Amino acid sequence: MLISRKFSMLLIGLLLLTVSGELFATPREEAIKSGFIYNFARYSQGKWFNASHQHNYNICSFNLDFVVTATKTLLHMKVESRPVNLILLTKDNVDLTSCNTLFISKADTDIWNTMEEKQHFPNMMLVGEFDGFLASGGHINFFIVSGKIRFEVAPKRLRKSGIKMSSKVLRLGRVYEERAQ
Amino acid sequence: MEITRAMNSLRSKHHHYFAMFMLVFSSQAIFFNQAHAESEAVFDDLPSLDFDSLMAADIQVTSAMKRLQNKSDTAASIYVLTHNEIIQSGVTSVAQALTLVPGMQVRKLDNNQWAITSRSTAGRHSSKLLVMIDGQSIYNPGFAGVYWEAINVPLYDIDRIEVIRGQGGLLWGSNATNGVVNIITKHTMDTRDNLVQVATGTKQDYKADFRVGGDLSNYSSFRVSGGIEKSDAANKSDRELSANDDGKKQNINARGDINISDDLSLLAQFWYNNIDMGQNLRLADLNTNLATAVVDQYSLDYLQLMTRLDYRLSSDSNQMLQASFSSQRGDQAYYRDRFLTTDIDYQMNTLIKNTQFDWGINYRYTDVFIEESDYFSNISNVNHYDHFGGFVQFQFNLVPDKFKLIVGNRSERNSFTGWEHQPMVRFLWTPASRHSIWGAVSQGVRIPSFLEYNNMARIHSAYGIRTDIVGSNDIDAEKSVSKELGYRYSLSDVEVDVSLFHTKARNVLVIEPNVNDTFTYITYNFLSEGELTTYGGEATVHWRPYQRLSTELGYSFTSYQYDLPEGTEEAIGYDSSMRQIMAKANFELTNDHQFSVIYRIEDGEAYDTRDYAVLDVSWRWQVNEMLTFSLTGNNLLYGKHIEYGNSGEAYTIATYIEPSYLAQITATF
Repeated sequence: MLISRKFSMLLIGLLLLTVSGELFATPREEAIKSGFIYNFARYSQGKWFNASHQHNYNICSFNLDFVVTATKTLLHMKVESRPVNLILLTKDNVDLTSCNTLFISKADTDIWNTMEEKQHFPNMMLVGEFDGFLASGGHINFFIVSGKIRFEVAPKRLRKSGIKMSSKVLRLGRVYEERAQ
Repeated sequence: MEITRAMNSLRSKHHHYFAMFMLVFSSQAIFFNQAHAESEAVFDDLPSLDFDSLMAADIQVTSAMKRLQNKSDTAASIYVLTHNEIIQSGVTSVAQALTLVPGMQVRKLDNNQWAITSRSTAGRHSSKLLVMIDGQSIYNPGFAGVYWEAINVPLYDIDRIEVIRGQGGLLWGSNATNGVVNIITKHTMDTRDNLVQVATGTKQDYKADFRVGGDLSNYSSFRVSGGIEKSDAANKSDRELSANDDGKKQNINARGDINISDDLSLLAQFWYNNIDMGQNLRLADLNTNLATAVVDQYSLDYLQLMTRLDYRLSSDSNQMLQASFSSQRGDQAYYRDRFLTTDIDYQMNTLIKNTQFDWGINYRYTDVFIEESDYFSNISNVNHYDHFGGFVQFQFNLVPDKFKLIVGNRSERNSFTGWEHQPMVRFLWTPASRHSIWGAVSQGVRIPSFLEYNNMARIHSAYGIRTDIVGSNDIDAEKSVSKELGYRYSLSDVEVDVSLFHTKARNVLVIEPNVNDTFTYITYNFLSEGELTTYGGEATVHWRPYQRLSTELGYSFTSYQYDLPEGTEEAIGYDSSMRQIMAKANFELTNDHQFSVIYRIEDGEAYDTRDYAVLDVSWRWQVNEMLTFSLTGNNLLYGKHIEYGNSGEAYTIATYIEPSYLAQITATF
């Protein structure tokens, strides 16, 4: 009885600890996400990236931590023989013209919400990591289940942006269906 | 410089303060304020950037679940059987999948029953091997082993099988002195499709399985799977009877993964297996006491319920609470048992700067019912077994990325032998980035089984005299001290893994024969007074010369030597040695056609059989996105053979293991 009471206390303690706030991404989490983003590009085809006209495959983000981690993780990686390059965006200088992938981190939700043209980014893969990202026009959204990273995809919206993602990748993700995609 | 600034910026975000509410959690508050201990090692520890590795990667270095963190970072002899290898090899059961692991002793008694262990002689009723499904032990306290034929986990739902050879998994539980087999099933988020699989073959009338998977709200998901299988008997038995090892299996499983938040998840799982199989037994004739062969039809029911709460406390700390219940019921001609087991486990893992601190507590209660029969009776009125205790482990990164020292202990009190302790010390030295050397000294404990502690079993006698094996309440736990040394070399396409071990066990189970004054009654009394020395090693070389070709060569050697008190005999195995050579190749001819070849030579006298070799070949054809066809041949080239002739350890009469073929179609949609 004593033992079962102690275990009950442990369980209660565990549940009370769930009131903690959300945790921001660790470098390891960001490194894994950057690996996914690299693979999304590798396993996609379409006019969003033309290797014969671009010297790099550019992944853009407003998040300095992500850019630093991804730069190191994706060092020497290539998409269609073009080196992967990370570009740090700032609130004051949002020049998306050279971006092939735009990653919106959880910390940059406010910036995303102020970007009026987000529904109409042509030739750009939009990747995020927060609730409502797909509903607000994103293409791919990361989420975490049991300590592992998974993703959901809006394939119709990807196609509208000129991106055809491999069916093998789509099968790994959760397909987001929206009436007015 | 930029990276350092970025890291510092990141650290400032991670100051979480929690109220302390009980002592066990008070220590955690210290950890929450720890700055991110992850350093450059973050990048070294990362998997390769292929999709499969990324999908399998944990976002934390620590992990609360009982499983390996990183193969290259583990100071133990380990082997990970991946989902792809299991599927490509064409195996049809978990037991058969273990034939793919170099160094595992996997012997078939007949078409249904298996004897499996590592670094020792395997027995049908003795293994000293801890077997877990998703962290839940399926160890049978009745005979200290596992009903392998009752493990019906659908192979397509298995993420991987982690095998630790030797005492490397002691902290995961008791009775792991020979090793740990940890079957980890896929998260339901990764099985949200539907699947139908049908198979038939020369030894299998039919096998039909299904899976239905889907989404629930808030990134939660579920699956339900099940199957039915009917197999044929062998053509030839070892003894005078015709083989009788046909069988029927059915199972239904369900799992739900509820994602309460990014940091909190709940797993609920249910398994039910029922098997009904034939076997030939060697029993005592109740009139003459001589050996007589008996045809038997036996059944097993196995039900498991498990729930687990995983909670990520911070980027460097997590905890797990798991509660499970299992019911096992077996009905054989000579033995009927029923076990109801409740397990509760709590585990916490934390990284404090360069030190990983793991601790946990556990409790198990088992209700036991063994029906008295002509062959089995209870010695005393013992109808339950329980144990409780905990473990603690520190992993010190003494020289970051170079030298790690691991110190730990598991202490548990069990209702048979009282408190038992399993201390261990390990090191992992990485002198260069591709080379690592590890070593360990550990003490393992094997708790006596219920049969050894409380039962009397009637066996046949060559003299026609009533003979019983008699258990004892005075029996002690077997304690084994193991010294291990290993080396790993890892390049992108070549991996070398070598392990050596020397284990000396005391309080080993032996049998003392006694004859009464009138020569009408013989007893074999269990005593825990033997000593046993085992030594040997395993070596594996994995080479991937081309992207489409993967090869592996394995060699293992085990020597087994008893030191018996005068007047006693071995209870499990006898002085012997075993050698195994294994060669494996997986070849992708095209994206749609894959071939798997496994050649295994088993040598040694431990099982009282001839040496034998087996060749297994499988062809897998991805017909289209939805459909896969596979054709597998087992035990090819060398004809039928006996794999288990050690009649002193099993009532079951072995049958000849014959060449067999299986065709299988899998549809996913």
